[in-house]
Amino acid sequence: MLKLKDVSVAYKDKKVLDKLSLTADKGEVIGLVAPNGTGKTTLFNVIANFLKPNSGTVSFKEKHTYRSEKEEIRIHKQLATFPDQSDLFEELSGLDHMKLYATMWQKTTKHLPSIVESLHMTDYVKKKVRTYSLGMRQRLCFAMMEAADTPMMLMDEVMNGLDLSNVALISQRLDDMKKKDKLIFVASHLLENLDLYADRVLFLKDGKIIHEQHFHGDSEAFIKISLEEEQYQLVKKTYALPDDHHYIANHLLCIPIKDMLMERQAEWLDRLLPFNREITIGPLGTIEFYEKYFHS
Amino acid sequence: MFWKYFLFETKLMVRNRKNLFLGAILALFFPIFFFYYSDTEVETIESEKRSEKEMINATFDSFPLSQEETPEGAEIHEIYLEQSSLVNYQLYYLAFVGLDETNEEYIENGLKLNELRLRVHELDNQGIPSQYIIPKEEVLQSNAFLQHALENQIQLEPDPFVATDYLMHALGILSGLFFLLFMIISGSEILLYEKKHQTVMKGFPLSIMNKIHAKVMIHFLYMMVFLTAGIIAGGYIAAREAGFGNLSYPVMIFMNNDYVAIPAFQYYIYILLAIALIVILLYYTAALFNTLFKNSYATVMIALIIFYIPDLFLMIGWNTAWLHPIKIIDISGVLSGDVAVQFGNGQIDYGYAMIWLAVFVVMISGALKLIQWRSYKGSNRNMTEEKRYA
Repeated sequence: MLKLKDVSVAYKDKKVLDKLSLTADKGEVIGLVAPNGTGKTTLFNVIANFLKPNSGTVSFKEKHTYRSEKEEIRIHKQLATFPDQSDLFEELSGLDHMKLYATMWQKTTKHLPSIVESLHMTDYVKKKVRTYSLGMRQRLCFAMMEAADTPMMLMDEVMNGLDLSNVALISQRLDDMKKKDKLIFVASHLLENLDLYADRVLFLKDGKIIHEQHFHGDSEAFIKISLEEEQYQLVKKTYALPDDHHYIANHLLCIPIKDMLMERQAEWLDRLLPFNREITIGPLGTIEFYEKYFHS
Repeated sequence: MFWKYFLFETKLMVRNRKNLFLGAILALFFPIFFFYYSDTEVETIESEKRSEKEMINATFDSFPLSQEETPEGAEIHEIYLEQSSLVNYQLYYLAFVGLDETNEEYIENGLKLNELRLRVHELDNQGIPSQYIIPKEEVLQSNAFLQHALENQIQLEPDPFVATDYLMHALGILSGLFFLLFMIISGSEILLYEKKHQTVMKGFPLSIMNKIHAKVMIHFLYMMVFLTAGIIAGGYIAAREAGFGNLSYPVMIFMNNDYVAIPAFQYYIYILLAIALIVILLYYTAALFNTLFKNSYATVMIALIIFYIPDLFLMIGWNTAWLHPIKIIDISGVLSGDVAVQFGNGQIDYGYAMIWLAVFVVMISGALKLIQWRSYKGSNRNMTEEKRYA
C-alpha cells in the first residue's frame, strides 16, 4: 500500500532521513520510535508530502506518487494526518472539527454520533474547544481522524496528554481500526502501550530504520533482570554468559533462552535469584529495544 | 467537497473578529458620514457663479497691458469681456428665472461661456494668472452637463443631500486609498490564517487553488454584505433627512476621452460592478503577497507602496503609461476623469479600468497557480514551503 524508497532529507549538514526505505500494507499498525527531533515527524511529513525529500520516492498502491497536485489529491483522499491539539480552532466546537474532517473525506457526517459516544465525548463535543482540557483536546484530535476514516492514517504523538483510562480507550480504538484493514502509523512515547496494538515497531536512528520489531510469530524469549554495572561484571566474570546476551542501557541483563535446555534455564534462574531483583521471562519489548538503541 | 470547505471557511469568517470589526466600520461609514456631510457647506450654482464673476474681475486687474497689444492678448481680453457679460446674465437668469424650472437662457449662456473658455485654452491662456485658469476638463465636464440639461430639460441644481447624490459622494470618498487599505487589511491573513492551524487544515484532498478561490469568494461575499448594508443604511438615512433623489438625474463621467452624461442608476451599476471586481482583485493580491512574503504586515505595506508608485514616479517627472493601470483602484477618480487628468492619459476611463481589473485578476490567479505548479516540479525541499502556507 505504501512504499518509501531511498528517502533522504537533510537540513544543511544534518541528515534527518538517510536513504530510508520502507513498505507497509493495509491492516497494519506500525509504531515509530525515536527520541524527539530525530525524524519521526519529518518522516510523516514526507509520507504526506508536506515536505519534499531531497531524494527518494514515496508511492501508494504502486501507482500514485507526488508528481503533480492531481496525484497528491488522489493520495490525500486515502490519507489523513493527526492534527496537533494546539492548532485546533478555539472558537469552534469539537463537533465542528469532526464535521470538517468527516465531510472532507467521507462526504457524510452520519458516523459521527457513534464516534462521539465511543470516545465518551457526548458531554462536551458541542462546547467550544477553548473550554477543553488537554485530554479532551487529544480525544477530539483522535475523533477527527476517526471522522476522516481514511484507509491510511499518520498519527503523531497520539497519546499526548491522555490519562491511563483514555490511553486504554484509544488503544482499543486503534486495535478496532486495524481490524478494518487500515494502515496506521503511530508515533508515541508510550512504548509499552505500542506493544499492545502495533504489528511492528520501527526504531529510527541517524535517519535510518535501525531495527524493526515484529509482534507476530515466535519472538525470542529472554530471562530479564535489572543489574548494576558491578553486578553485571560479576555475573559475566563468574559465569559464561551466552554470546548473544544483551546488557541494555547499563541496567538490564537479557539472557536468551531460545536454544537453552530447561535445566540450563533453571540453573540461570538459580544464579540470578540471589541478587534479589525482579526476574521476568519473555521477548524483548519496545522499552528494552528503545533503551538498547537510544540509552546505551 | 469545495462547498463543504467553503462552508467551513464561512464558519471561520463569521467568527473572525478582525473582519467583523472592519465590516462593521465599512457598514457604519455610510450612515455616519452622512451626518458630517450634511453639516458641510456645499457650493451652490449661484455661489459658483459669483466666485466666477470675482475671478473674471481679478483676471482683468492682473492682465498685463503689454499683452493686450498682441493679437492673441487682444482676443483674450475681448473674450474675458464677453465672459464677464455672460456670467452676469447667468446671475440675472438665476435671480429672475431660478433653477426650479427649465432655464434655457441660463444654459445657452453657459454653453457660450464654455466655448469662450475653450478658445482661451487654445490661445494658451496668455497673460492669465494660473490660479484663475479654469481647467479644460472642468469646462468640458460643464459643457457635457449643460448640453444634456438642454436636451433633456432637467433640474439644474438638485439637492446634494438627497440619497442618490449623497451615496455618490460617499462612494467617491471611499474609493481609492481608503478602500484599498480596508480590503487589504481584511485580507492580509487570507492564507496566513491557516498557518496558525496548519496541522488541522493541511492535507485536505482539495487543490490549493480551490482553497484560494473559496477563501477569496467568502471574503468577497462577506465584505459585499457589509458594503451593501452600509449603502442601504446610508441611503435610508439620507432619504429620510433630505429625500430619495432622482435615479435618472445625469452624472458626468469621463469616457472615450470626453465627458458624457449618464443616468445616476447607470453610474451606480458601473461603480458597484467595478467595486466588486476591485474587491476580488485585492483579495487575490493579498493571497499572492501572503504566498510570497508570508507576512500580513508586508502584504499591507507592499500593496500600499504599489498603489503609490505611479504617484511617486509622477512626482519625479516619470509618467509612464504602463504604471497607470494601478490607479484604476480609485474607480471614482476614473469615472470622474480625475485620474485621466492627473496622469494626462485620456485612455483611463471606465472601459479601460474594467479591462485592466479583469486582466489583473487573471494575471494574479495565474501567478498563484504557477507558484503552486512549481512546487511540484522542483526537487528542492524548500519549494514546498510555498505550498504549505496555502
